[in-house]
Amino acid sequence: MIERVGLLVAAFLGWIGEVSVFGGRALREAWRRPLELDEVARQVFEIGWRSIPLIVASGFAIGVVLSLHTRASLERFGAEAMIPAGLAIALVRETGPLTAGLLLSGRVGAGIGAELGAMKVTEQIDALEATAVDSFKFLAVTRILACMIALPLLTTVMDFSGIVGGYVAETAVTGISFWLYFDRAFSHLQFSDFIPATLKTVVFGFIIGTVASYLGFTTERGTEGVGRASTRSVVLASILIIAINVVLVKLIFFFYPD
Amino acid sequence: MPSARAIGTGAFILIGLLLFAVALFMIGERRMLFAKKFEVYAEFSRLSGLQQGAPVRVAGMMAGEVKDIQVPPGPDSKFRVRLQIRDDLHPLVRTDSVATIQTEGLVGGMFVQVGAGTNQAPPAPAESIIGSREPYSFADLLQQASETVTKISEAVTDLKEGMDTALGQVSDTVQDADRLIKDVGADVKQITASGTKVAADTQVIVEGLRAGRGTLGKLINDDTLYLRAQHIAEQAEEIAKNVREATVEFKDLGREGKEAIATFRSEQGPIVGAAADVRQTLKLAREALENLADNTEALKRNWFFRGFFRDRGFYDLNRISPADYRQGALETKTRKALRIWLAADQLFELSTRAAEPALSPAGAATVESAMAGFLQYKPGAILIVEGYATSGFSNDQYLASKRRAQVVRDYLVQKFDLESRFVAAMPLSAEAMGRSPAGDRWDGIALTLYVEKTALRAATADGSKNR
Repeated sequence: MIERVGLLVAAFLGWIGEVSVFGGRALREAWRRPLELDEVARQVFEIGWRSIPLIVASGFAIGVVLSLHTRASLERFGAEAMIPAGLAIALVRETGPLTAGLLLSGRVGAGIGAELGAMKVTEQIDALEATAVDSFKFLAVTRILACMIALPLLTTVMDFSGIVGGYVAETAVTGISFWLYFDRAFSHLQFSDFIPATLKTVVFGFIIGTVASYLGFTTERGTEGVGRASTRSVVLASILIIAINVVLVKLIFFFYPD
Repeated sequence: MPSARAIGTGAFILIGLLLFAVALFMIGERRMLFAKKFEVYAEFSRLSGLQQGAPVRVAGMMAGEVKDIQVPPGPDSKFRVRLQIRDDLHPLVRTDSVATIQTEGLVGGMFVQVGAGTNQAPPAPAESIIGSREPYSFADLLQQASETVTKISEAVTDLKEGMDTALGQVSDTVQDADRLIKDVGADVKQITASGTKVAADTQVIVEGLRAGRGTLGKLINDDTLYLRAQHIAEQAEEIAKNVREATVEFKDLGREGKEAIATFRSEQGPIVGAAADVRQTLKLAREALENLADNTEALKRNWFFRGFFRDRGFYDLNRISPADYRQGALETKTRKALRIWLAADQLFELSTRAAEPALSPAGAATVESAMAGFLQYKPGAILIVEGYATSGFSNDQYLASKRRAQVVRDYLVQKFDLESRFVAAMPLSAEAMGRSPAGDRWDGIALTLYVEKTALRAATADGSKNR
């Protein structure tokens, strides 16, 4: 039993090490020519632009729900005027970045894992290597960079979508004007609330791209392996995002204690 | 022509960056990052949770934020708070502006409120220290409210006890004052009577002097009396000295009276003692006035002035005793008495006839009717209201006759505005002066007018009841 647990721990640590080496190599390769900007742009389009409907809809719904909950809590204290600010702080600081990261890991992580896994089992990656194309840089690095670029922008879109959703819920109750709601929403926000929380999603994007690409590049045993790579990409990326978020929040509070 | 994929990528990046920039601008606008600012300091002993970055309001308007909070080096020093304020609000921040730490509602955060100063004070220079007021936390307010309620409760309890005590003291004071008034009433009446008597005698003397009667009048024309002037002057001086002494004594008594009243009003002075002082003072005042009256009485009997009184046949009607009156003290060869008999049952209320006789309306009308016949001889004629009573022993008769006579006498003086010095009440018990309609005794009063015979002859007598 102990021996089996030891083997699992050793396998986990080995997997962590391999993923870390894979991510480190991607960061290092990102600065080396050719930069493959066309492929990066294409991946940004696929990852970012095509995710906007999902992000906007989710953000809007989250904003409505947050507004309803915030109102139920704050109106007990007669602090309805604080609803926009409370909602904005909740969205910008945590809900927006984390939700955007999880949504992207579900939509993009699975896609990258499945796509690269299929290329692996069909030996398309070997074919690229045979044509002197750096498959790692062309397939993995571009997707990792695209995730790192798209996720902060998607997080910002989600923040605004959530604020608009909160306004719709609030104006249905109180008839408050959009600009007053918008002004109150930002009344208690500081740069330390917005910038670190948004930029931490770069790390989330790196995790999503790295885990999904690694699992795709390491796919084995045909189509079954492709399916496993896709599923494991979503699960592992989501777990890692949630786990690393704890560390990142702690780091942000360390540098911005207010 | 770029591909749709490239356009989508560009749009995505632009939209994302634009929203990111908007968020930065909105936050920066709230933080006054793009406005010109100045800084001032305010010092507080305690911050009540104020933090760096807390909003600053000038006259209620969003104006900036707390940039820094410097911790004091010791307990006797204060926190120094650096306030960053929009420059366009600088004209409102004066050297007499006061900064306070306040709470946004019950659950809001802390912020610094800077009150607008006055026009008289110059604008607060940048980097200067403006005035401050220590903050009140909600817990402080509750604590203070609790203490205030406790104090109010104690005050109400004390006030209630004080009111009870005060009401008791007022009640006691009223009772004391009532007793005092009753006690001094007789003295006051006596003082008034003495004062009236002195005034009346003085008036007689002055009138006589004006008329040139008496020894003083003769002194003016008779040279033989001149030689005795020295002796007269000495006597007069002695009398005047007595009067002066009496006056000084009266003044002293007046001062004592003021002091007694001050003691009476003072918080420390026991009211019983004050009342005793007042009684003592009034007693002394009464004695003084009696002395003064005695002096004037002596003055009247002095040969220098007695001529005035001899002319009218009496010195003081009130000093004529019933015995002297019966002996004919007021009757002279030239003077005749006119008497009208009035029965008691026609004059007084039945219920009060004995103890405190009061004129009934019918009795008043009867007295007025009887007096009507005498009015033609007044003024100058002497009116004596003789009182008679037949019930009880001789002392009861005397008192009842005195009261009856006094009541009728006072009524006549007031009703017909008579000179009181020529009207007197004479208690004669039961035995009638002369012959009454009932014989030797009479129960009631008799109005007796002493009138000069010359005047009597000139007038027409009112027949039926006159004798």
